[in-house]
Amino acid sequence: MVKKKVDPEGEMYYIGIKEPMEVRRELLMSSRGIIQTLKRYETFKTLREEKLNSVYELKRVMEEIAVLNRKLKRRLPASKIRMMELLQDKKAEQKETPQIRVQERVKEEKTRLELLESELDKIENRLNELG
Amino acid sequence: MMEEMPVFVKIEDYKNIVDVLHLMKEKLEIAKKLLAQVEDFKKQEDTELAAWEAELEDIDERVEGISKTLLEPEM
Repeated sequence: MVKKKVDPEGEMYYIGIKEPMEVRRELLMSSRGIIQTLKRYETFKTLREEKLNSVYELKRVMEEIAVLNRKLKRRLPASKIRMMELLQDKKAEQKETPQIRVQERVKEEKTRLELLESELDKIENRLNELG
Repeated sequence: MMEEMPVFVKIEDYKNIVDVLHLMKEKLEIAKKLLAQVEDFKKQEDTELAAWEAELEDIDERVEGISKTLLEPEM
């Protein structure tokens, strides 16, 4: 590889490069490396897509399990604690005035995470009651 | 006292409960397999990233070498 330099008077100078073959080889190796990296990106992308699909599938199965769990809870006879819970829910429903309901609708919708957290709290309370 | 008393479940409900339990077990097995799959993909991703890093390091060294050769020309 030779670099040409022209000075203002029109004379040409050349800059010598040590081991030009080695430089060419290194350049080619770098190009190969860059292309291999791009290829690796494609593999990585595919892997990530497959992982995401598995995560979505896992989420779906967990939701199915949650549905089955609720079903199981309904089928089992109501325990003392559950009866109390049901009574409390009924009382709370009766106390609610239509005005409050409207206000609630206006409120921002609970996020899924908040709903799950409140469900977890309920379960924790029930577990504490069980002792 | 109340908690220690036996609980009786209607026979048709019992059958239903057993069916739901079986189904839940099946679903849990699927979930376990899926989780193992996710872990496997994660490991593969980590391996790819490590190889990626090594490749970049290699390219960096080569470019550094070329740069030295070009910036320190033979007189």
